[in-house]
Amino acid sequence: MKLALPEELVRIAERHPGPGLVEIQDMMRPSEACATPAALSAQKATRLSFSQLLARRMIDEGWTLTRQEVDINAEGCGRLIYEIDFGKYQSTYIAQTFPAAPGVPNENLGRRAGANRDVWGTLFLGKASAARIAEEFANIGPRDITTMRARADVLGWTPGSRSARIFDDVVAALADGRQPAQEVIRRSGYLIRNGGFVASGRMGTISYPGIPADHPLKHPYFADFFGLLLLREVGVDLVNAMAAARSERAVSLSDGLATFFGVGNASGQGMCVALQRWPQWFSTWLLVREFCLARAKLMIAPVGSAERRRLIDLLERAAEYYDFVTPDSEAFVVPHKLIAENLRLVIRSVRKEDGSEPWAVTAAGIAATFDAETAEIFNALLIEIYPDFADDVASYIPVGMAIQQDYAPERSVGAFRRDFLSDYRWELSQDLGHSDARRHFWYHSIENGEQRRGERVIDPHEHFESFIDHLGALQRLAAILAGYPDETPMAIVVADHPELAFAAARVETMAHRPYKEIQGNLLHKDFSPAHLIRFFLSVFGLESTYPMNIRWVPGVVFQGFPAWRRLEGPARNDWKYKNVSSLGVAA
Amino acid sequence: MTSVMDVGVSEVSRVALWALRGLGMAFGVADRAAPLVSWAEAVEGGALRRLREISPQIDGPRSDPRRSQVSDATWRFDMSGRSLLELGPPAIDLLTMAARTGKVGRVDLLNTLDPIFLSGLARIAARRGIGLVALSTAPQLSLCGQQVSRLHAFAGPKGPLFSDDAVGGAPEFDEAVAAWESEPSPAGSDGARLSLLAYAPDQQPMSDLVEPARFDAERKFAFAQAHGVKVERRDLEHLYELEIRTWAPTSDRSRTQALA
Repeated sequence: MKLALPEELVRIAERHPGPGLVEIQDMMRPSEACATPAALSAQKATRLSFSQLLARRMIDEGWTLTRQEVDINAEGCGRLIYEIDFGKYQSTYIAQTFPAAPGVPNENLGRRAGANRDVWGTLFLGKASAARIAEEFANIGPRDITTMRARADVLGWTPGSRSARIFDDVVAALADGRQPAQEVIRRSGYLIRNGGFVASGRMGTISYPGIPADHPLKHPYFADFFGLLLLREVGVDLVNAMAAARSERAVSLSDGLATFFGVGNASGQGMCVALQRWPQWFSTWLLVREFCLARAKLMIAPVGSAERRRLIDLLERAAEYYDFVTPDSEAFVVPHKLIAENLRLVIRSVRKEDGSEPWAVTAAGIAATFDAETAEIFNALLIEIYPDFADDVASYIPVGMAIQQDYAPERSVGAFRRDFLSDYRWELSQDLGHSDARRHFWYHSIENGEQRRGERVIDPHEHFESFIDHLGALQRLAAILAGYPDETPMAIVVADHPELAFAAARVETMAHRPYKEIQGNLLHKDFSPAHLIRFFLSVFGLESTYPMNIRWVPGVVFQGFPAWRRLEGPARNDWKYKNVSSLGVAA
Repeated sequence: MTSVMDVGVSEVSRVALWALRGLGMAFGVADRAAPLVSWAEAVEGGALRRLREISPQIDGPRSDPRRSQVSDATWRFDMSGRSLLELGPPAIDLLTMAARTGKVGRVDLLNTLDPIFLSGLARIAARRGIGLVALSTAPQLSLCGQQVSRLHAFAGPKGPLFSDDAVGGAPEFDEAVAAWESEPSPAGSDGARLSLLAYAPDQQPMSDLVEPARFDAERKFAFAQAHGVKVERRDLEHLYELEIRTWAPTSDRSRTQALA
C-alpha cells in the first residue's frame, strides 16, 4: 500500500529532477520493516539529525564565539563568559565550574544530583549586561537546586560533569607539556558529559514558543544542542586553563583533539515516554528519513561519479571510526570491530560494481548479507550523498512536528471507525491478554521525578503511570466505541468518557500519516527501552550509542565537529566521522 | 525570600498535567486540561491560586458525568465538586458538534467553581472555527484579567479573537441569547447562571467589529510565553505538591526498575 505523503514533501519531490513521487512512495519501507523497536534501534544518524542540522546552520551562517573571560584555578574552580554572534541576534553564555567532588570520580549522576555538577552554564537568549551576569553567577554559584530559579531571559541551563575516565589524565598530560596519549583518549570521546538542557519553561526559563520566530535557535532542538555544544567549548577551555594554572610548561589541547572530543551523553528510559507522547514527532522523523532513503535508493551513480566517490570516502571514514572508537559495552550492539570489518567488505563490493544499477540493489545485498546496524550505516550514507534533496526535505521537520491533534466531535462513531480507526489494524489485533504483554508500567520516582519502570501488581503507583501504552489506549477506544450505535456522534462518546479525547484525537490526526506509531508493545516483558532510546539518540545525531543495560544508553554527540575557530575553514561542513582522522592517526 | 516568582508558561502546563493527575484526573483528561491552566495563568492571572483554593473540592474519586440533555442541542452540566478543567472540554465538544451541524448549541453550567478557565475553553472552540459566547448573570467572568459578564470568542483571520459582547451573525443566535436573558435561575443552583452558547462558523460576526486592543488575549499569551508570568510562591509550590503525589516512593525495587 502506498504511503500518503504531506503536501510539502510532494512539492519537494517535484522540485528535484530524478525519481518521481510514485516511484519514491513505492520504494519507501513499510512500518513493519523500519518502525519496530529492533529496527529503530539499528538506525543511525543522518544529515537530517538535529545536531547535524544545527551544525550546518552554524557553519553556513558563520556564527561566531568570542571568549570574554576564562578564569579557572588549578582545581578547576572558576568561571567562563562567552559571547555568541548569530548575525541578527547575539547571546551571552556563562559557566561556573567547580572542583571535583572528593572520592572516586563519578559522572553517573542523573536527575537525583540536582545542581551538584562540575559545570553549570547559563545560555541567555540575548546579550546579558555585566550586572545580569553577576546576578546569574550568584544564582547558580551555590548549587542549591531549592533556591535556583531562572528568568525568562534565560534560554536554558547546561549542567555538565567531567569525564570520570579521562578528564584528570588529560589535564595531567597538558600540564606536563604533552598531548594525552592515544590509550587515554580512546577511553572516552568527551571531556564533559552533559546533564541535560534545563529549558522551555523549566525552572523559570523562557518557554520555547516565546522565542522570536526568526531567532536561529527557534528550530526544534536547536537550543538544546547549541547548549550542549557550548559545554564542549567549556571542556576544552577548562582543561587548558587548569593545566596552565598547574604548570608553566603546560600546553593547550591540540586542534585535532579538540575536534575529536564531542559532548558526552547518557539517556534513560524517560525518552520512551517522550517518543510515545508525540506521535507527530515520531512520524515526522521517520518519514523524512525514509523519504530521502527511498529516493537515494532509486538513484544510479556511475563509476567515477561524484556521488559514488563520496560514498566510498564516507564508508572508509565510517570503517575507521568504528575501528577506533571503543564503546564501554558491546553487550547489546553489533561490536564496532565487526561493523568496521563489514564496512570494508561493503567498500570492496561497491568498488566492484559497474554503476549501472540503482543503489537499491546494493542496499538490498547489504541488508541480506550483514547485520542491521551495518545496513543502516550504509542507508544513512546514501542519504548523505544526495545532500540537496535531504536539506530540502529537512525543512519539513518543524512543520510535521508542529501538527496539532484534534478530533471532529460531530463525526459519527461509524465514520470514525471506517475512516480512521480501521487504519490501526496492527495495533488493534495485538493480544494484550497475557500477563507478559502488560508486565511493565512507567512512573515517576520520588527521587526527583526520575522515570522508572515498574512491574504491575508488585510495584505501587500503577494508577499514576506515564502514558506509554498506545496499544491499550487504542484498543480501549475501539472497545468502547463498539458499545455505541454507528450514528452516535463522537462528542457523546467523549462526554461519557472524557479520557478518550486523547486517543480519539491521536487516531483522527495520525491515521493517514506514514509511520504513525511504533510497531511494538512497550509494556511487554521482553521490550527493551534501549531500542527506542538508541533511535531517539540517532535522531539527535549521535553516531554510536551503546546500551550499558536495557534502559541506559551512553553516547557522544558532535564528535568530529570542527573546533570553533575552524568553522570558516575549507571543507568545514564535511565533518561526519572525521573525529578519528582529525587525530592524524591510523585506526 | 520573595513571595512572587518568575514562572515559565510551559513550566505551568508541564507540571499542571501531573498535578491534575494528582487530583485524580485521568491522563486523557489532564492532557486536555493542562494547557487551559497555563493559558488562564498567562491571560487571566490567578489561575494557580484558584486551583489551590478549589483543590480540596475537586480532589477525590470520579463519579459518572453529571450531564443531562435538555433538548436537541442543549445540555446541562452540574459542576458541583468538579472543575471546568475536567468537564469543560467535553462541553466544548458538544457545542462544536451542535454548531457544525447548523444549530445554536447551548450548555448550562451549574455551580461552577472556576470560571477563570472559561476563556481558554472558548479558545478551543474558536480554534475550531466555532463562535462561542459565555453568558453570566453575575460579572464573574474574566477576560484578559477584566471582569465581564459576557465572554465571546470566535475565529479571526490570524487566530481566535475575543470580546465582551454577545453579537453573533444570525437571528437564531440572537434569539437564543434573548431567551437565555429572560430565563429565571434554575432550582438547585447557587443562584448565578452561567451558560455557553455556540454558533456555526458561517454565522460569525465581521472580525473588524472587534476592538482587538482591549481583549487581545492571544497577544497577552504570546507575551507571557516570551517573558514568563509572576506567580505567588505558595501557588506554584502547591502545583508541585500535587505533582509529587504521583511520584512513587523510593525502594530498592524502584531503583532496580523491577529488574532485580
